[in-house]
Amino acid sequence: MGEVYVITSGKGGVGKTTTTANLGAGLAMMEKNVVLVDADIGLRNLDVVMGLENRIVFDMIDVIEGNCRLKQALIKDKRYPSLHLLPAAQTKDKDAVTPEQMKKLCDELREEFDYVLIDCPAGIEQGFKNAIAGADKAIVVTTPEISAVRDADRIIGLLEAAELRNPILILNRIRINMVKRGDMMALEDVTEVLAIDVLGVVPDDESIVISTNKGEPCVADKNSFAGQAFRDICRRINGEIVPLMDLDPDKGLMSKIKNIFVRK
Amino acid sequence: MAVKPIVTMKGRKDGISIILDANADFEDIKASLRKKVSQGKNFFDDAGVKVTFKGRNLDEYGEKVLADIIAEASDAPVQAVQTGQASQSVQSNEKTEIAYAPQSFAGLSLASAIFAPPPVSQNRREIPTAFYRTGLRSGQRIKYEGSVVIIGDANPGSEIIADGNVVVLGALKGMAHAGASGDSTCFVAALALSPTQLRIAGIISFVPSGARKAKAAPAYAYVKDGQVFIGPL
Repeated sequence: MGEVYVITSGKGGVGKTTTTANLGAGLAMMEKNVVLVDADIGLRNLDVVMGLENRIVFDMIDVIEGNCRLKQALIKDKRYPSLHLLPAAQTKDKDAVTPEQMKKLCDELREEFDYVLIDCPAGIEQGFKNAIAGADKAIVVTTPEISAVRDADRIIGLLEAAELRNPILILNRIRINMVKRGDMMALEDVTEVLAIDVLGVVPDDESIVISTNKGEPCVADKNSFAGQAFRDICRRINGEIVPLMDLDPDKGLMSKIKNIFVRK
Repeated sequence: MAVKPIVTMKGRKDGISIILDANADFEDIKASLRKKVSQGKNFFDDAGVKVTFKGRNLDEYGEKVLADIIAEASDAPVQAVQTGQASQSVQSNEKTEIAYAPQSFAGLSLASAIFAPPPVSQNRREIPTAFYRTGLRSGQRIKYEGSVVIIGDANPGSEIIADGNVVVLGALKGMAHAGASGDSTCFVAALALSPTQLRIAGIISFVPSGARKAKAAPAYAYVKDGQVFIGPL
């Protein structure tokens, strides 16, 4: 029996889809059986980020309406044999699915896979309600911006109301230099408001943009800072205890010496 | 050799020390103090700053005169002068403490605890009270025909609307409305009072965002003379 995670945020553009793609690829690299479900019906992106767009034949709506079997709609990722994608329909909208149908779909998927990761659409309307309907656990993604944190707070409230207790937090796109200058919220500032457990912190990294455009999750890139953060998160999901990575890039000898003198 | 200034102001942890020359003429001290205070107005911005005079023995009248000068030059009315007897401070010359509260922000004043009336005495009658054991998140709203006690934080974007009092055992960062049915004797209290908006009965007050960041101390808000005042707990 697998676990169903929903990756959600409330606000758009904070990195839900990127996080879903990287966690999926990362868990598959650990030889887990993973399926990614794109719940963003009408605005599907996950297939593009995964580089699997051109292989879609059937989608989630086809499965729910009985036009095909579940196995037929699942796209197998060639790079990671244990990674699968259930794409969203692009020509329908969120009302094409009901929460009950989503729940049934998730229950079917959890029989087959170790991890079911649902990419939730932005917003708190029907799409959100569908995406969380079948989930056991929720991962809330936010960026260190006051608007994103406010929306995450709202989402956590809605998740708790929907009996999805103890959501866990990924703080995405943090820039440690700005945090040090006091121009950006630090992890502590975010957790002070949200008061939930932290699953991971992902630095703002150019390699994310590059890998997203290429359709290759950066979690496989050994040199990517963000990739390392996603690999750590995957290990934590898998039950390992991994300390939060040190995001400070200038930890060289010279800067250490400088720090001694610059200390306030 | 440089002339030693006859009035020197020093910020300390617990207030401001004003050191006066022991030998200078009192009129000179008054003039010099007025100049100093108006130059350093921002020294006196905080509520409840204590002022201590040093270096010179002052009688009651002298203290009053100097306190009035500070009040006048810093635009902050001195609400009381606490005069210490000279005999009590033989060891040091520290004897005068003046607590005052500047009237600041449109529609919102800061008052020091010494002058704030205890709101509870006016509010002794029994009000039904609802207790909430969890905090409030953005978008969550509590409406109750009585007092509300929240054990936890009320985050930005949350709303508490009570016909009675509002007490938050945590940080109040959202909107709180006490006395929603029109009772202006109701109050709002929190362990960290930094609401986005505060309403008591029909009065709405905004907390300036600068003050909201700086002040997050245990405090309560009440209405006096049609204005919302905030006093420390």
